[in-house]
Amino acid sequence: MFQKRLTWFWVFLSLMTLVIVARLAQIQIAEAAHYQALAERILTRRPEYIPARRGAIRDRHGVVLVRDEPGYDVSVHYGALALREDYLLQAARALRERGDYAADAKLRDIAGQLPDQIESMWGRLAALTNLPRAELEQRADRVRVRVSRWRAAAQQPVREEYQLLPVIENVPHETALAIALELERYPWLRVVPGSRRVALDTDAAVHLLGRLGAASPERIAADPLRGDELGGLRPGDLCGLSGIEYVGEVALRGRRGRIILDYGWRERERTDPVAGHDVHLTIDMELQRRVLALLEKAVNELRPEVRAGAAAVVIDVATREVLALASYPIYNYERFNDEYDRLRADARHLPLSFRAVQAQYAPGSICKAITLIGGLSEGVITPQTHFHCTGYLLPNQPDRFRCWIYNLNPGITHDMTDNPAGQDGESAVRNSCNIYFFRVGERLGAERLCEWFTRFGLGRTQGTGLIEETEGIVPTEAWLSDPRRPAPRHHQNADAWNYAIGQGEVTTTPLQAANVAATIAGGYWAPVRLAYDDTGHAFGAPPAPPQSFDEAHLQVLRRGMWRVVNEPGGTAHRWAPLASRDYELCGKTGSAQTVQRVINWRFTCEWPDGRREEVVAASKPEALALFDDPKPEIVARHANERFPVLLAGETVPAHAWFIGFTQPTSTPRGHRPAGRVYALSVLVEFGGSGGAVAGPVAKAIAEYLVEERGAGSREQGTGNGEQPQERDRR
Amino acid sequence: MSPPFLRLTRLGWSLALPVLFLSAVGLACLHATDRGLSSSGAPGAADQRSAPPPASDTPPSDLGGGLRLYYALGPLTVRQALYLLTGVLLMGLVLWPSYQKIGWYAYPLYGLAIVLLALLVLDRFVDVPLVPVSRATRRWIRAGPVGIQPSEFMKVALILALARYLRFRHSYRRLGGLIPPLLLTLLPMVLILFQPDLGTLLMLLPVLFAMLFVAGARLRHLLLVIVLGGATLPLFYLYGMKDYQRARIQVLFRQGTADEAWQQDEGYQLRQSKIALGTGGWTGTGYGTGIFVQYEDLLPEEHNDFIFAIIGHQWGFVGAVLVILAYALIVLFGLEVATLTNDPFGRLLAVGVVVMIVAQALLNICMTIGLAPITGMTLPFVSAGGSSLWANFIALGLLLNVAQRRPLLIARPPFEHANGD
Repeated sequence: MFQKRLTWFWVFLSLMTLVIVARLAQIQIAEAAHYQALAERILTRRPEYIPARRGAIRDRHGVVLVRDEPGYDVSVHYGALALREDYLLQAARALRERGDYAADAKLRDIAGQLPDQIESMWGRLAALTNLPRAELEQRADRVRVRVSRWRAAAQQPVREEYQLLPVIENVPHETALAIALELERYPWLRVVPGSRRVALDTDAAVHLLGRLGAASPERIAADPLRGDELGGLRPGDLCGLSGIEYVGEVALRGRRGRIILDYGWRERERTDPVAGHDVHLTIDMELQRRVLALLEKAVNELRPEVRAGAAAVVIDVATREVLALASYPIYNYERFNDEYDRLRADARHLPLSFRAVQAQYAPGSICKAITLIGGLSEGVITPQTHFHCTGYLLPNQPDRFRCWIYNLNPGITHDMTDNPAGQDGESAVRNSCNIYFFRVGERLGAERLCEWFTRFGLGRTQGTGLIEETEGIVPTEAWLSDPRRPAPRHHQNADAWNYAIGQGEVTTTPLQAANVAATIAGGYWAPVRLAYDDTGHAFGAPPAPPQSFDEAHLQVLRRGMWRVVNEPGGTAHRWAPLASRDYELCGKTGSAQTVQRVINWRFTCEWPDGRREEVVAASKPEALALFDDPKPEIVARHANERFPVLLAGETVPAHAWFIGFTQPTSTPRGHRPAGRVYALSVLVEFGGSGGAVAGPVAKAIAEYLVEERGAGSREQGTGNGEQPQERDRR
Repeated sequence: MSPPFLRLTRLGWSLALPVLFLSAVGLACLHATDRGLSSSGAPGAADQRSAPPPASDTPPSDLGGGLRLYYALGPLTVRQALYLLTGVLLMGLVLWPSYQKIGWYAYPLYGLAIVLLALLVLDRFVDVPLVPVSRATRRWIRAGPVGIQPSEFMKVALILALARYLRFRHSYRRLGGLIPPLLLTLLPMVLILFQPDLGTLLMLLPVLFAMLFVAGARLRHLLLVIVLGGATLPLFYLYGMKDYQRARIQVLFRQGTADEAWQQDEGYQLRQSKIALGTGGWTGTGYGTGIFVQYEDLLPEEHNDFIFAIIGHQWGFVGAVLVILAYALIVLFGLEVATLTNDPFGRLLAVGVVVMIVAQALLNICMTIGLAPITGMTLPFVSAGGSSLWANFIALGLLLNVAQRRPLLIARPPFEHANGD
C-alpha cells in the first residue's frame, strides 16, 4: 500500500510538472513575441525632444529682423502635474535606483511620498522665480487642461502624458541655474534650453513679421510635415500664426532633436536638433521705416476726428519684389501679449489690421486706369475718342453721377477748365474725369469691366502666401447674384458707371493697387514676391499666370499718368512732382467715397418669454457673451457708434489713394520705363483728397527711392531673388 | 558493511548532482544580477554595463586579493556561496548521528522551533531583543550579521515531529486520529500567521497531507479534511486576509487584463516575470546578457522569489525545464530512499523532506508563471537566502541519513495496511 501511494504521489507530481511545463511553453514559446513586444515597450521610454532653434527673418540686405534668442524653460513631467499613479511609480523607481531611497523600499511607499515632494517643489519654484504660487498653479492647470483636451480629441493616450512639458518659459539665466541646481534632483523637473523670439527694432514691419502661437489641432492636422516625428508640428509647439512666421513656417521651423532613454535612464539614441533656415524678405527695412514714418505723418496731419490708419506698398517692377509693405498704426512686438486686449478693442484705429494686404477699400479713381485699358483693348474707344465732361451724367439728375470737379464747384466741368472739345483718354486720366469713364464703363458693361479688373489682379491674392492677404472683391455677375450673399441681385446699368470709377462693390487692397501700378509700368501683371528661403525659392503660390497687356494702350495710360503728376492741372501736380532732375513720378490719384465704419452696435435681444433688452457691443458674439444662459435671440441691431464722427452737414471724407511708378526722366513719354522702376501705392484712410494727402506721401517715398537708393543703378540685394528666370516673366 | 561515507558516495551522486546543479545555477544567476545590496552600479557583474558605477561604491584600488575577489564576484554571490558551504557543513553535521537518534529529539526540536516562533509573536506585544521588524513583518531572529528565519527550520522540525508521531500508530486511519497531527501542524501555522508569512505557512500543509497520505490515512478522511479546509477558504479570503493578500490572489485571475494601471501596480511583478520568461524564448538571451539581468528593478525580487524567471530569461525554455528535471531527480531519489528503507520513521522522514523541497519548488515556479498567487517563497537551493538554504540542506542531510542507514528491522514493512484504500 505504501508503494502504491508513493506511485500515486509520483503520478500527482508528474501531472503538476506537466502542467507547469505546458504553461512555460505557452509563455516562452507560444507567446514569446507578445512578451518581447511588452519588453520593448517598457524598455524604450518615451522620447524626449530638444526644441530646434527657429530660423531668423532677415530683410533684403540680410539685416536680422527677428531671431530666436536662447533662453530657458522650466519643464515639469505631465505625470507629476497630474499626479498620475503610473508615473509616480516610475519616478519612485528612478529615485530608488539613484539611491535616494533604500534599495528595499517599496515603490508604492516611495510613490506615496512623491505628491508631497511635488508640492514642495512648487513652493520652491515659486520662491526661485518670484512668481506667486497661484500663478504657478494656474500655469500647471493650463497645461493639464491642454493635455486633457488633446487626449479627448485623440480619444487615446497622447504622448504628452509621458513627457516633460514647459510650465515656465523664458526664465533668466541665473534663475534657470538656481532652479537646475536645486530642483533638478526631482526627475519630473528639468530646465530645458528653449528660446525666445526677439524682434530687433522692427516694429515698422510688425504686421508683416507676424506672430508665433501654440499649434492648434487643426493646424497640426494640416501640417505639410505631418507624420514626420522630428519635423512635424506637435501639440504644444509654437508655430507661425501670422505674417512671415506663417508663410515661412516650414523653413523656419527646423527639426527637433530627440533623446531616447532606456529603462536604466541611460541615453540609448540621440538625434541633435537642426536649426531652422532663415527667411529672406524682399523688404528693405530702412525703406519700410521711412514709409511708415511718412504714413504716420500723413495721418497725423488729418483732423483728429478722422485719424485712423494708412498703408503703403512699394514694389520693384522688374522682379515684383515687395520692398515695403507698411501698415499704420503699428504695435509693439514685445508688448503684444500685454496690450492685446487694448489693441483688439481699438475699433477706431484697428492697430492689429495688416492694412497693406488685409484691408479692402473702394479703389476709387485709381481704377480708371484699368477702365481705360479695358475700353481701349475691347475697342469700345480709341485713344482719340472724346467725351464731353458735362458735369453730371444723366441730364435729368444733376445731383447723381457727377464729375468730381462739378461736385466741388457746381457748374464747372472739365470742358470748361481743360478742353471744350471734350476729354480723350490721356486727359481724362490727367483730370480724372468721371464723365469720361462713366461713358467708357457704359460701353464696356459691368461684366467686361470685372474681367479687366481681374486681369489686373483684383479679386485675387497677389501670391505672397500671407494668411492675412485678402482677395478683395470683383463684383462679377456670378458674385453679385450668389444666393449666399445677404442681398443677391443682378448687374444694373448704374453698376458699370460705378465700377468704372472704382466705386460700388469693387474693393482692392493696397498691395493689389501697387501691383496694378507695377503692371502699368512693366506692361504685364505678375504675382509679387515677398520672401525667399535659403535656396532662393520664393514663398507663396502664384494665384494666376502672368498677364500681359497691349503696349500701345498702356502708352496712352502712362502718358496720362505722367500728366497727372508732371503737368499743371494734373490731379497730383500740386503735390507730387519729384525734385529730382533724373527721375519723375507717374501716377493716378484716387479719392474713394466711403461710409462710416461702425464701431459698435446696439443689439436688441429677446428671450423666449418676450422680455427684451438692448445692449451695446462690437459684434454679435460679444453681445451674446454678456448674458448667462438662457441666451437671448438678437432680433435687431442698429449702429450705435460710428467712425469718423461727422460735423453737421459734412460728408464722410474719402479714402485718399495714390498709385504710381518712378521712371528716369529720359524715358520717352509713355514708353515702358527702363532700368530700376518702382511701383507704389499709398492709402490714407479718410484722408479726403488723393492728390493732396496721398500724393505727398508718394512723392516722399519716390524721392527717397530714387535719390537715396538709386533707382537707376541696381543695388545688390540678398542675391537670392536675382535669378533671371525667376524674375523675368514678360 | 562499508563505512557511512562510502555508502554516501555510492548512493549520493544521484542526489548530489541535481543539488549541485541547482546551487550552481543559483550562484550563476546571483552573480549575473549582483549589484551589491545597497545601491545600483556597485561593482559586480559590471563589465557588461556601460555606465560607470557611482564613485562612492567604487572599491578602493588598493584592495587586498580577497576583497578584490569579493567585489569581482559580488557581495550577494559571495554571501550565497558562504551559505552554501555552511549548508553543506550542516548537512554533514546532520549525517553524523543516526537519524533515529535525531528522531529521539524530534519533539524537543519541534518545541524549540515553536518557542522561537512564539518569540516573534511575542515581539508584537513586548519588544523582544534580536527581533527586527521589516516591512511590518517579524520573520527574523538576528544576532549581528547572522540572522535566521525560524519558520524555515519549523518545516524540518514539523517533519521530524510528524514522522515521530505517525511512525508506529494506526490511529490516523480513523477520522479522529487525524486530529493530533493536524494540531501539530496548525500550531506553527497559527504562529507563522502572526508574522505574517503566508507562503511558508501554506507550505506546511502539503507536508502534512503527503505524509498522512503515504502513511496510509484513508483517502476519504483526507478528502473530508481538505474539503472542510477548502470550505473555509472563502471566509478566510473575505475576512482573514489583508487587502494586499487578496490582491495577490486577484492577480491570478486578472493577469490577462488590459488595464495598464493595474498591470503597473498590482499585476506588475507577475507581468514583469512573464516578460522575463517570454523574452527568454527557447534558449534564452544567454548568460548575463538579457535586459532583466542588466537592469535592476525590471524584476522585483529577482534574487529570491523570482529567480526562476531570471533562469528562464537567460537560458530559455530549455534551461527552465532542466531546472524542473533537477527537482524531479531529487524527488526520485527521495522516493527511492523511502522505498528502500523499511523503518517507518525513516520512510516518513524521507517523504516529508521530498515533499517539503518539491512542493516549495513547484509552488515557486507556479507563482512565477502565473499559476499560483505570489507569496514570498524561495526556490530551494537556487534563491538567495541563508535560512532557507540551511533548512533545505538539513532536510537533505536527514534524507541522506535515512539513505545510508537502513536498519535491518525484523518486522513487516510499515504502513502496509491490509484494508487499504
